[in-house]
Amino acid sequence: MAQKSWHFDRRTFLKGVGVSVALPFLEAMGNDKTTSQIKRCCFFAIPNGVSLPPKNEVAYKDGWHWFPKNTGKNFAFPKPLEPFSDLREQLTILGGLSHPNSRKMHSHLSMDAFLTGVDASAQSYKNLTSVDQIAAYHFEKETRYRSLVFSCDGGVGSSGRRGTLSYDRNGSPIPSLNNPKEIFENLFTSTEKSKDIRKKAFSQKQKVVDLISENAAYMNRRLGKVDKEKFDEFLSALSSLENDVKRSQQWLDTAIKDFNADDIKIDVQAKHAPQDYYRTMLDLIALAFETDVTRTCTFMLNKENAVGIGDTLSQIALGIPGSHALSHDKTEKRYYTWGKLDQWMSSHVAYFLKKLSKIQEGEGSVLDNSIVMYGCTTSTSHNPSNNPILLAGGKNMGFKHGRYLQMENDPNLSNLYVTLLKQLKVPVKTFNDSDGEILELIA
Amino acid sequence: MKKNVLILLIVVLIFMSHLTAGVTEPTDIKDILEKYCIDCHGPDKSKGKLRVDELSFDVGGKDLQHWSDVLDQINTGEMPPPKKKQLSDEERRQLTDWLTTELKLVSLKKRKNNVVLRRLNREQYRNTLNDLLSLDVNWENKLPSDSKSPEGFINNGQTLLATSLHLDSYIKIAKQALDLAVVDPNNPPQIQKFKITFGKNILPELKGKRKGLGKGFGVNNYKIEELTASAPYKNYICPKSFTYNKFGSKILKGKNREFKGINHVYQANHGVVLMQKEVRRDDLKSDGFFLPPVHKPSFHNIIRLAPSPHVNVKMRVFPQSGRFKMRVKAYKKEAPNLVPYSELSYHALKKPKTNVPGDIILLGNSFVRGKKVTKNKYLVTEMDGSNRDPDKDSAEADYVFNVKNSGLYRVDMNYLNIISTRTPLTFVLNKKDDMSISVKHNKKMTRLPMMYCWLNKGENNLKIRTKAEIQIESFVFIQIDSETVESKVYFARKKATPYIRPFAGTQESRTQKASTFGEPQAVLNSKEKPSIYEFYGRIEDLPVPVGKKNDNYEANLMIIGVYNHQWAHMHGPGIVVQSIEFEGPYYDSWPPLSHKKIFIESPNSRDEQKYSREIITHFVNKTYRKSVSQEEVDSLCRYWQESRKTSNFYKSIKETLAGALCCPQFLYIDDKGAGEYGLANKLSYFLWNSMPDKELLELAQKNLLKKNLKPQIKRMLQDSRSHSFIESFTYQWLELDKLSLIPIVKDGFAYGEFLKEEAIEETYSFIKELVKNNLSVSNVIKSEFALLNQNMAVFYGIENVTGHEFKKVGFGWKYQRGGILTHSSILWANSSGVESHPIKRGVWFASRILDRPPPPPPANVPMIEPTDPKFKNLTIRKQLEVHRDNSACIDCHRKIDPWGLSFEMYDALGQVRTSIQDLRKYSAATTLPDGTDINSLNDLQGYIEEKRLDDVSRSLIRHMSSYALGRSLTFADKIEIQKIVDYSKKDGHKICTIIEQIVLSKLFIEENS
Repeated sequence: MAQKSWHFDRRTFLKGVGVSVALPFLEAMGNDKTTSQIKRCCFFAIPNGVSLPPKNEVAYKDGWHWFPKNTGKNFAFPKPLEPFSDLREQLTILGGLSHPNSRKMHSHLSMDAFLTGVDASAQSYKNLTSVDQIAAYHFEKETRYRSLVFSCDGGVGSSGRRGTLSYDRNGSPIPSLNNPKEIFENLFTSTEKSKDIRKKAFSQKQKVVDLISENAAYMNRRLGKVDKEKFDEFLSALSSLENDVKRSQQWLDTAIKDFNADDIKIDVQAKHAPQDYYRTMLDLIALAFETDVTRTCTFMLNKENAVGIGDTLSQIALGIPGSHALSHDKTEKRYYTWGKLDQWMSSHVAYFLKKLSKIQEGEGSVLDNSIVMYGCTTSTSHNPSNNPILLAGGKNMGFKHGRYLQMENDPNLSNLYVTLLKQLKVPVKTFNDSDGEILELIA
Repeated sequence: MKKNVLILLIVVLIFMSHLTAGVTEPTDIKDILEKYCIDCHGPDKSKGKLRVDELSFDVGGKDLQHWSDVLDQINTGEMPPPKKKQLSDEERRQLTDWLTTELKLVSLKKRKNNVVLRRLNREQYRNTLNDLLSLDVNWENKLPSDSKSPEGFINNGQTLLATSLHLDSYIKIAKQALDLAVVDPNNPPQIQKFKITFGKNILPELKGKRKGLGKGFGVNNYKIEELTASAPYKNYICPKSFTYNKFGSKILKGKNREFKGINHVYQANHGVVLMQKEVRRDDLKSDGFFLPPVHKPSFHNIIRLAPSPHVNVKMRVFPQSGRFKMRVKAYKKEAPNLVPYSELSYHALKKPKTNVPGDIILLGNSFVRGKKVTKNKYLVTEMDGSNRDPDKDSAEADYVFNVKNSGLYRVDMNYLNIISTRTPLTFVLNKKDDMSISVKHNKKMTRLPMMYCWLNKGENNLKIRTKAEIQIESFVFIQIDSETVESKVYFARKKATPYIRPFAGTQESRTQKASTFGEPQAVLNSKEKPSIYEFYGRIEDLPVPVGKKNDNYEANLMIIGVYNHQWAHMHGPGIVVQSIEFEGPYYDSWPPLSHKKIFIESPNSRDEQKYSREIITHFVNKTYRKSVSQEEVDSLCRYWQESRKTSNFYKSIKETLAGALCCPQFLYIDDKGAGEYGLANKLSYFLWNSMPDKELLELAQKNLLKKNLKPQIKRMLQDSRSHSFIESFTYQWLELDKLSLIPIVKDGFAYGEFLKEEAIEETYSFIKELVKNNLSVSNVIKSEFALLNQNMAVFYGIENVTGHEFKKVGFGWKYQRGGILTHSSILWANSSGVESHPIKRGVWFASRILDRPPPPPPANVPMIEPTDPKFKNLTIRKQLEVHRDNSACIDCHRKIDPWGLSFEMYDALGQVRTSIQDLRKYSAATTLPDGTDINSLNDLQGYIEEKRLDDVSRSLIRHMSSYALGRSLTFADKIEIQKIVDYSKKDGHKICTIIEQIVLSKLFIEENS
């Protein structure tokens, strides 16, 4: 966070680079031929483990074990993954992966590390840039919004029980959005107003940003060393906001592709209609991908350790407890209940994948240009190894599907992220503590 | 988390293979540690993951926290464990003396630089903005939620982050806030004002003309009047013609169908959801709409309607922002003399199966409604032997009987057969009270308790009417002794006060989305003297469909309504609503106070240049809560100049001030600000959770605040702004947020979200009472009084509490209530929602009340698959025992489970278990970590009061200090905290003294330099 001469940097950037750089990207964007080259990524996470009954349990024999019984191409979908049955050739089930750091720490911290691989065990640990954001920084010049960050609870949660999957280049958590109506209005309805009105609004906002930075500078001068470090966070937020404003101004002349959002229930509230809520959030991601306003997205479907609204949703929708309560359940039927919860969560993701596969794009579908990862931070609730992972889509990026790969010797989950980033054509060699790649995924 | 881990992991120490250069190794200490600790915490075993041979003897170095924990463990006698070799007194003294001295030295060196700049959290932001602008909007809902610190507080500088999403929200809110606060004084707004009067067939000329929307009542049953707004406001001329293409889910024939007339602007309706055992009574009266107590008191239920029953008005046209005023005319209707058995059955003690002498028996065997003769044909026999058509008419019986003693009677029904229950049985007592009850055939029970009723001496009349096919043998009236609980509850119900509560929101085509606003108000007057009840709401804070495009006649209407909030007695006294009046936007004066506070009186008010500077200076001095620098004012004045070029004067001022509200000077709490301003801010955000007022800032300006701290603290605690501090602190300290995450199970219980709301209110009221009267912290553990309102009292089964406001009720331990440990808010928040949860309750108690948080479970705990196949069927208590027997778990669980088990006689929601099955199944008997055996929560309370009160006091002090300072406490704060604990002990642990001592401590005062 070297922001010492930040004030001047900003000015220089504004006068020098801003407008002139913008145009070529915009031109590129307006061109339909590029759609086949669009690459997107999307990450969904659930906490507290999945249904993994031991082999001697009847529930195992009944097919309620999250991982399929046979590996390779001949796997059969177990009941928790049944909603994906129609998508067999579009996805791969991955077993065995985990973050080495997560295996060493208290399991409920593992959500913090899911997309970063950080060691979150120290109380005041600092996170690393998450995999989606590395992609987002790479794509940012090509899209109207850098990335979408969603969760059921919104905000950033608390250290150790984060409410967001995404971390920026400083490792600071990016607040997640959880209100479909606000998301929709922010992303899509602003374009309904006339260009003049929007132009005025942006320039007004730019003026406010200037005023804030001027006064932030006065304030910064008076602060001691410790406070200055903390205040960097504010300056960095301001600079990020300014980039957003600038980006909006650059995109002012480019209309969003036509879309139809009539079927999206933007007024839905999670606690009233959990299923509709999940699907609406997913509809919004699909719409954002379809209209290409962004290319990366994360969505935390539920928080660790039952500290968010997510753990109550299955109770409301299905009358079964959330995954954290289930992980402590010792009753006979628990793997059936747990499996049903997994099935329900799978059904949301399957809904999303099907939706993407039905949106035409170039020769194929949006799904062919999007790699979607769905995974759990732990296998059983207190065991952050052998993460249940499902990878779907991305055919045009070279992903090979239709298999269940169970990998031995605890391979590093970060290796998967290296492979994903490389296929997204993001120039990386490693990702945090990665020590290889997962080449089996590539055709 | 690390701190938590360490506190419990514990213990310690050392032998060192590595010595830090320059640190001498005290051999005597080393010997003691080797003798007593190394076995469990050395190379062979490292319990709690602690290797003493890896700790450094540089006490202030990397292992500071470990050393501090060692001292705690030795001091509290937790280590060495009871079964191990114990230190001699001399050795113990030697070790603790050495450590205490070392740690003191370190502490003095360390207590600097751990204070960090903190931004306003959501609550502080809301309070500050509202205080500053004289507004009352819930701005916090428009900001992302704040992170919790490890101690559970959301005002910690370290964990509160600033992100671009925050800034973006600040900019939006600032604009919105100024738009609400500043008006154009020369252009008073247009006011929408109307009144709806209810009454059965009040407009006979409209009878049968058209039904209202949905299942509502016809347009002949309410009268709409448009009222004139008083000067200086202008009258809003309401449009009366609308076109739509859809009506609910139907598409209308012909495009753009037109609806004309006032009846399409406003529509009155009721919201009555029929519950299983409930039947709607005749709610539309000639002089108003009758509202019995709400019986589905929740907005969050599955059907998504406002609380039922209610009466509402739908508005097609409504203000898009600002406050509004609602006036409701209503009177009280006494509770009926009939009450269904289900309502008092919770308290019923026995259910006699046979008749006893003295019972009144009405034979009913001639009362057979119908007998099936062919598939679709019934033969109906009346008492008089005549026949009638069962599809059209009800069967009826009319009894007149004599009663010897006035009193409460239970009515049982002996029946032979119940064939179908298409409709319930309706009872009418003495032509006045009526009650409908559904019955179901039960092979095992041919005698059903039906209801309770009050009978006067002499002749009484009972009429029974039904369409149900039922064969009744007799009705039996059993007199209930006035000393029984059910009798007491019956009378409490008669005495209860109905409360009227408004709500507002959106009517969708099939569902409603609404929230309450304002406090419920007691309805005391009878029919002869109806009263007017006034409520104020804010469009911004309510789920009103502002700015929505709509093509559906039935959707996106604003809805306002009222219901009877006395939810505890389902058949308690009712309210008759006679009329509802609406006025909006509503202003207290013109121009409003918020405007006048910005546009101050000035001789220069005609000179824009001078006046704008005055306004800006005045505003930012308040906004930045300090003495503002010239450059800060200049930058805003330049901003205004720019803005004035394109906007009028009011608008340009608005834009400028909105800009100031986005600057860090406003958004951050400047604890270390120049002079005493820092102290004023710090104090005010501690005790008010909001900005300092004029008095505090003036004292700071004159450097007199430090000298006047005591009287200022007293004044601030007496001010109602301190409620925000008490509520916010209590909520976070006691983790009441967990309550909002407890699911309300679909068919669980009727109380729903309102019980949550009032349970939390009970806890707030309790702590407020402690602060108001400077009472001892021991009351947290056990008190001779409780703070209750009528709903909570009934929920707890306590008699003679009326009113919605929480009042002090003294009763000792008779009802097993007293101290926050017995609060439903606490017990419920730490349950699974369905069952009590000893581990959750235990962890809560250890960490919040004793400040001994257990460590989180270690990494990679394998799933415990119980070997005993019966494990799954064991009670939680037994499961815990099995769990504890596992040696990997015992160390932590013996410090958690006993606390939680002592609460076992309280069920998930916090009601005392009384049923015989429960008494057999559950027990609070347990052995506390130090070996004390207890049998009840009362025993636990006694134990804590006697032996651990200092720990409770220390816990409160540590939590409150962390809250006051907006940071985590570290080892370096230990000495100062201990000073406050010692002072508090001498003073009898009085709560205001604790607050005062925290402020006067070096921790608080010295950090702002």
